[in-house]
Amino acid sequence: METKEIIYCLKKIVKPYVQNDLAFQDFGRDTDFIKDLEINSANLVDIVLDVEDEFNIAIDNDSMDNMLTVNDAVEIIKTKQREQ
Amino acid sequence: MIGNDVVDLELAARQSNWRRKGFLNKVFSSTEQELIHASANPDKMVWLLWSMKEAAYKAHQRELILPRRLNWLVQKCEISILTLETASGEVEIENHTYYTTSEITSDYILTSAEKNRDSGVKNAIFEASSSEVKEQLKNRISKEFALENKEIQLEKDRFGIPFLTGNDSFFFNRFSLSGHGRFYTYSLSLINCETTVKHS
Repeated sequence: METKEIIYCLKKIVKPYVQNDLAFQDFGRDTDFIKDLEINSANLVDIVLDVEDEFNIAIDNDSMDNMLTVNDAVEIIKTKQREQ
Repeated sequence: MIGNDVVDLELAARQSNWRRKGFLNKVFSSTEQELIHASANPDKMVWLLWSMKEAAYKAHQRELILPRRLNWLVQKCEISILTLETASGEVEIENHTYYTTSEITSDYILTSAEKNRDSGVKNAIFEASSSEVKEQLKNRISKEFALENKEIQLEKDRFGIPFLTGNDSFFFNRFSLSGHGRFYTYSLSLINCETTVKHS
């Protein structure tokens, strides 16, 4: 999957949990889920679960640990897809 | 060091479905899940354990200067006392132990965590709209230190950990902030703080 395509899917997944709509307009690789989008921490669990469902991958705890930005998520998704 | 966390129970019920497949396994150990399933009020138990983990991680983060991490399973909760309105317990994070105290109401759960027992943690909770919260916080905290509102500044380091600065090299970091839904809280540890408060 292309990076652009992954980011497009991520944007759709993240949208319902966003608290800062202004920051969401600039959604891109550098977007930080907590600092920029102000997503509640419990909803970060939902995002991880949604990503697992959407991309049909399993995100282990060590990978989830560092999933703080869109770029982190893209890298994790690519790695997991390669492993399959 | 200290940390705190508040959960607005009404918002949590609307915003998070912890019963969805996979949720509990990402956040809670099997022992913690047993506590949830055995509880007469599983919703409250979920958010109590959650707030213990979040508060303890904030204290841990401040203690060791760490970035935010998404790994709730690393934080292992034990509840030693549980009543309808309070809870106290311990959270272990990578060989560090944090002591937690929680206040449970029908509206919110507020937990503070401390590295050293009895470090004089004072918790305050208030309701505010997001536009007025910063001003309210500055006002309330200034009063805690008997400072003028204009003297105190609320700042955050590169990991988003908040601290207070002010005139005359005032610096205070035994402090934690949390907000969820209707509620905002701050916690301060005011015992043995000569080393961190330099206010001449």
